Amino acid sequence: MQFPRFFSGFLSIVLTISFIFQGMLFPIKKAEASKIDSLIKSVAGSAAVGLASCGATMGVSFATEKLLSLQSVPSSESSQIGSFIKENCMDPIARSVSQQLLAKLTENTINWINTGFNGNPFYIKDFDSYVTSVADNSIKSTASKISQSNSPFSAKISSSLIISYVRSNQETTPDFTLDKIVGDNWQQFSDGDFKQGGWDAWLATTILPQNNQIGSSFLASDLATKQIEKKVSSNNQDIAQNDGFLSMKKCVEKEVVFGQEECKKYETVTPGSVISEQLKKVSLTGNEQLQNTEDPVDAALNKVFTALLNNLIQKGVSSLTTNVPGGSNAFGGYGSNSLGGLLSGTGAQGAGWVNAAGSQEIVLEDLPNYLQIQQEYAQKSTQLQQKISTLVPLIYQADFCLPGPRPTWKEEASSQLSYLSSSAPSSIYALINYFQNIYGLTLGGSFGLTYDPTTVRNVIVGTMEGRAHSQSGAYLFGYKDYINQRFSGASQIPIASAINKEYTEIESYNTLKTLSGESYENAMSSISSINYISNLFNQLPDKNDPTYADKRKELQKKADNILPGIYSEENVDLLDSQIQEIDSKIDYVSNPSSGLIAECQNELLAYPSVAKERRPYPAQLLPSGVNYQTSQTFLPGVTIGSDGSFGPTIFISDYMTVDTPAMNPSIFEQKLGIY
Amino acid sequence: MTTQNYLPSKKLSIFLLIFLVIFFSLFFFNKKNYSNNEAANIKNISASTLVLNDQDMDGLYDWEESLWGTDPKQKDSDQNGINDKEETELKKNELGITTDQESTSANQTDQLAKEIFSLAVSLNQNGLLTQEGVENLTKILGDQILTTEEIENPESEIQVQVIENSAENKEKYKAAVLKTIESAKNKGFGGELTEFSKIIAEESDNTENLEKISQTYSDLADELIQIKAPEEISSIHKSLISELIRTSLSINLMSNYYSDPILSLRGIFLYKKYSDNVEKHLYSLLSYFQ
Repeated sequence: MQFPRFFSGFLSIVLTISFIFQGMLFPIKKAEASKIDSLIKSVAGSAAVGLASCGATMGVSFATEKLLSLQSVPSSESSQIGSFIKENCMDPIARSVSQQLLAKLTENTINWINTGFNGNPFYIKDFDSYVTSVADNSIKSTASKISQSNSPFSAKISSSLIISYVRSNQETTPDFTLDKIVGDNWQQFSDGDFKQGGWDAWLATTILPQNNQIGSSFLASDLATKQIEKKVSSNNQDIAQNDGFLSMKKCVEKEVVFGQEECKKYETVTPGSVISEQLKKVSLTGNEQLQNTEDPVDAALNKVFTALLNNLIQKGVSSLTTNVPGGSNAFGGYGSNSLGGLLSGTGAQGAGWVNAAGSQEIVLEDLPNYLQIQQEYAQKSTQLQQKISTLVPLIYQADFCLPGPRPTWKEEASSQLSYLSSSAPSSIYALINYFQNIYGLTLGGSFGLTYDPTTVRNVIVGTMEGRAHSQSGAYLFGYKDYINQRFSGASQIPIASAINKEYTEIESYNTLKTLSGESYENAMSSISSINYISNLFNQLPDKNDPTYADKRKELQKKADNILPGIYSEENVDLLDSQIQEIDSKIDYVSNPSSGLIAECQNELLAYPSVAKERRPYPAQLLPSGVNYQTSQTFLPGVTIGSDGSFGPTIFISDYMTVDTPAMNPSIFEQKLGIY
Repeated sequence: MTTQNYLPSKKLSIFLLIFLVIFFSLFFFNKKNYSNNEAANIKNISASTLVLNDQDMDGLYDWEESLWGTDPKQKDSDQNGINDKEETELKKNELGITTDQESTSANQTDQLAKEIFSLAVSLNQNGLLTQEGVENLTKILGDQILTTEEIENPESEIQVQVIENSAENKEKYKAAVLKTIESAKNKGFGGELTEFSKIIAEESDNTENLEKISQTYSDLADELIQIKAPEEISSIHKSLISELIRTSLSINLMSNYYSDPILSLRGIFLYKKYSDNVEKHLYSLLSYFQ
């Protein structure tokens, strides 16, 4: 039996809402309850029909009573009762079960991961805490995602989500446990010595984010967890002003920072007060209205579930699913993609957003102090971003000093090739032209139009990548071979490995910068919110005024709503330490006498033959007055293809061939973006 | 670890098929969010292929390899002479992992958790865990959870003793029915929502009372079968018995709240349907008796 579509949509809603909102979004429907209040009073003796008393005088039970007493019930009344039961009894029950379902799904999944992938529960010392942290991350991820949705419902969901969750979960980030599992050797293991700790350490490291540097830095770094906090606190003022609901904003000005598009300026599209009204409609709606608004609500809430799934991946096994560049060190792959020493000393103590201010209640008299901390935090966030903006180009500069392509060229070239191939047209004629234009390939032989273009394309692309047919002459395969020979570790300058290591961390630095930007926005928003609350606080009547207590209580409630986004002094200290780490990294890379760049240039002088093959510095990355080479070809004089003037002949079938001409590496490099 | 545990169930296979059709349909109708590159990759895969893919044929599915950190394209990722499958098994033995642990769970919630997880990891590994993809997936999951078999209507199996319509027979019938129902009520009949609410509110995993209530429905049905019904009310009488049996079974499903919430949720939706019918028939009896 397939339940009606309404139920399906409804399930999606309750599945997610009940798990996260925990009843907040769907209170007992007072408006409707009042309509049939007298009726219910007459049958139940109470208007307060909640989950606990659900069913005592409802449904079958009520009908039985009436039957046994032979009291007639008007059909309109029984119908109203039925409707009331549905909305006030069955729905809460269904939501509770849905909540249980999601909790169970999470628990079972993690149990399974424990059993199947590390088996031994001791790796997760505090299972409850781990499960909680999964939920925690889900909330963050969820709020972050749905806040950006175009749905007018998403923003309010986000704010309610945060408030509800924060109030019910005051917790800290998981403790570092690798030392307890591996012992004193954990540092050696972290430094890449797989023998120190072995599998046990590896499992502990990869499964528990707090035990690896990426994971711990994200857990510890208040910046990382600010993905959600931004959404909470950047709208704190809205929350306070609009019954706890956010305004919906859209990005009106974007900027590109190191290839990543970021929003520079937001504009409020729908005020929180409007959303607040909409939500009231939704949360108080009857079945019919719910059905009408099913699609937008469903769409927004599906994103919540999306986040839940993502969370299982990201949090439960995040480190495991992160591919280690290179891949050859599969079992001991930890560390290659880490943030290096950054944050390593502060990993376990970082404050999470849920307890950023370290308490569950804002002390209204301390508002000036909160304000000052937020200002410091905003200032330091900006500082951190600036430092990272300085550091990253320096690393690029150091990398460009090295002979040979950038460390990630192989993966990126394969990806580009794959992209080019996927862009190939589907008709055979167009396909021929396409490959002729891109690679100069000539389709020959007595092939007919009956060939499946997809097959032809796959064979050609396979050859270009070096997987299919004439491997000896395959372009990328051969090219990689040449490059590996030319720029192998042995022929590189000594500083290369240190520079490459920094290069692989660029992505992490950029992430840190993005998160730092979000934290800045968050802090600024918190400042606005605190100012707003301060104003209200100053307007409170005299303590002797009879309305003082109530008004203060109301204000306290508003103030507590903004608590999740408030930074603590510990957060500021953490930023400080991050800034210091970046500072020392800048010095490590660019110190004029001992930095990586200086050392690289010195070594090039000592290895003139290798120096000739270093890449050209992009002008914008260079200090003025530094010369750079103009040739971008790493393999001058080398012909990519077979031994002759033409490349291999690809046999698609006995009757169809593709002639592949030899290719000048400069064209090849250009096509595949190798630099 | 037995690979059997990761193989999709028959239900999942159907679900995967539906998922694929919808996923690809939406995908190709909404190309703006996907690059051509992704489109080309997706054309050549299916969700079941994703989950069951084992490129290097080493016995570990690709998604498992992504979790273990081994190379899905190499049988022996660390080239130490032991293939990845054996190596993970050895390591698990060394760590004292009993692989049987995995295969012991069989309930639907647990199975669904595994299926969601393995599919999600596979999608993620292949870069397909896009927002749209997961939205479609979760939408279908919602449908799947709610898709359940109706409890078969036992009405055709029920033999009701029909007597002729008369005032006397009606009175006899009325007295017998009311007595039986009152007795059932005293045993908890009709108290299932209260009991179920209590389980939820008190976070108790003791479902004994709920199961007893389920039994009262079943017992009531048995006793009503013994009562001779006047012909004019016999069809309602028969339907009531039938719906009591179905309600009893749905309450039983509900009692899986802690162990298997999917069953419980399905039970609730079924309960709503069948108990509505019970209610309706009780009101019909009330009208008849008046």
